[in-house]
Amino acid sequence: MPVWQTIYSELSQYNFSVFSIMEDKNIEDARPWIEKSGAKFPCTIDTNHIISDLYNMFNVPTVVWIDENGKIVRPNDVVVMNEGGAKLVKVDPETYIEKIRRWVINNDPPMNSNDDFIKYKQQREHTDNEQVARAEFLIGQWLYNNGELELATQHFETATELSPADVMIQRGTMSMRGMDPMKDYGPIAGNIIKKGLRLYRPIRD
Amino acid sequence: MSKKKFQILSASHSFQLEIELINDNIWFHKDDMREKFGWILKPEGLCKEEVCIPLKEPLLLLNNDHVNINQFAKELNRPIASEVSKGVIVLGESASDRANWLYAEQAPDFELPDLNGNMHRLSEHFGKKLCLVVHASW
Repeated sequence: MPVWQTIYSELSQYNFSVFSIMEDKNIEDARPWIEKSGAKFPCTIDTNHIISDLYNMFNVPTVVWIDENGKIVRPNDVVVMNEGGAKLVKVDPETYIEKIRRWVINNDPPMNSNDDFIKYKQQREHTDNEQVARAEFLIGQWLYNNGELELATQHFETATELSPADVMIQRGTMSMRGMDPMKDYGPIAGNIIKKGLRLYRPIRD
Repeated sequence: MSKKKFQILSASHSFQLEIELINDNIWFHKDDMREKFGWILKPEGLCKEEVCIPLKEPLLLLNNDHVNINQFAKELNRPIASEVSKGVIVLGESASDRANWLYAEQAPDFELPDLNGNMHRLSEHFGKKLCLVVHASW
């Protein structure tokens, strides 16, 4: 997030802004990240995963570009600003930031071609099972907030069965299921890959 | 048969609904279909404003004055999850409604709180180029 503040500082003079959302189980989990970022743009917390549901997101970080008319011009994309993460998702942050710069300052196209955009949309439509998984997540989150940890876990597990590539649900609920989302994530990620599914879906252009 | 108050949730709001449990099936009064969900039953199907959806299985939907909530969700293609023991139901949004909104003229709008509880609405920032950045502590 500090990198996004740097981008914002440079580009906000060109009618550009950043809108940050954290998909965390409560405000306190998100607080240290937001406070240390020094962000001058809106930094919000989305405990119910409204954004995953609206934008069909499966993992973080996910970035969406929206133009002056409020229209999505570059859909769900991945960029990780630290070195290790950048290697993992195979997206170079500098190249990505330069792409934002050219879009904001020169009005360069946000994607290579309109065909790419159409193809992308067709690959990423919401499915019925993914939507049921999100309903199961939400009921689990409610149960967790009401002290029903075992029942919450059952619903999170149902969600995982229905939407096995949804890292947002699987990793995002680990701390509610007595697991450590850093240390215990390896086997979960391994299972997703073994099923032939992807952890990250960057746009390749 | 027992009458109960259930909590109906979606990602953005929640309300109470009086339900009746009959053999593990959850029923609610058909007046609440209009009052709480905004749908009316007409000869052409389930209607909301100008939209009418023909019924797939009307015999499963209605029993006298009561509506089966799972069938109601099914008729509308909406996802449903329930925990009957705790009186809570999530009625989500259909995949097609979500997909249609995602690539409509404007990006799906929402309102979320910051650390101080102040609400921020995405559309308040329309008019600028925006990067929506979604991340998490995990």
